[in-house]
Amino acid sequence: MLSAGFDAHACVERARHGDETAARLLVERLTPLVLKIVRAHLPQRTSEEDLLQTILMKVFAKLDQYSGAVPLEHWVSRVAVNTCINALHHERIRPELRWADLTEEQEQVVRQLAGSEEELPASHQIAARELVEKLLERLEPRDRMLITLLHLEGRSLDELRQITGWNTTRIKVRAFRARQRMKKHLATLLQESKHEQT
Amino acid sequence: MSRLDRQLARLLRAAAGAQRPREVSLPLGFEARVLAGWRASREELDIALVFRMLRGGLALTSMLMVLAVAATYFEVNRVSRDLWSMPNAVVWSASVQ
Repeated sequence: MLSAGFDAHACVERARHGDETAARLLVERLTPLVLKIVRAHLPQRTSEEDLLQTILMKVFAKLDQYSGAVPLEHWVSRVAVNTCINALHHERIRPELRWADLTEEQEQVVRQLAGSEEELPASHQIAARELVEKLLERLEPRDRMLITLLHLEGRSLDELRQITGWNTTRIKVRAFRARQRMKKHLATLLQESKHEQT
Repeated sequence: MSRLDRQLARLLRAAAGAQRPREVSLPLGFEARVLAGWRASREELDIALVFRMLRGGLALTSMLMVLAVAATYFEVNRVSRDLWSMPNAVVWSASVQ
């Protein structure tokens, strides 16, 4: 969220007319927001800095198209998400996730999931995140993005509508199908964990 | 909700709780690079605008030229008809007499 007291519309208007101070201010204010999106959705073989620069350049190139109908951060998020999706398209989707692909900590997470109904302890959160990222690598880029925004970043459906441009039904259906695919891979891992234990 | 659904939900909740504090530190000159790119794109836009205006001006001038040529052609035709009207009348009147 852009900080309070920052008049985004006025700043955009000034930048459109070539005001360099306004442009500098926009870069300063938008960088943390864009960086957060880039870090959450960064393709494996892409440099964080390069992608950040590409997105900011796109934002400035499209500044004339910003109508002000939605908050600036939503419009910028949309540009960032679409750029990340395009970058992710160049990555090959990994078809399978096997027990051998997991680290020791991730194996513990799977065992914990299989053996208990309790929430995972805080000490397992990083491994859980890595495991989720491995599951996400098996999804289409748009689905990967959707699950990240919805479940990992805790964005609301309203925010998702503004970021993706999709309607609520499409978001729900797509998220449901993505979760189904994740469940399929998780089920395989849970099955393999049982075999490992026996 | 099936057991597998609950397992995935727990996994996602744990993953969402994972904090990865990474400060916003960008390499020196990053901001300057973005602004330089923005300036360059603005200059490109200005040049493109000048070319667009030139193209528009050229099209307008061409249209005016075509109109001028057409007007001249009609004028010449009209004048040439007028030019022969007097001798024709003389010849006609002489033949009548």
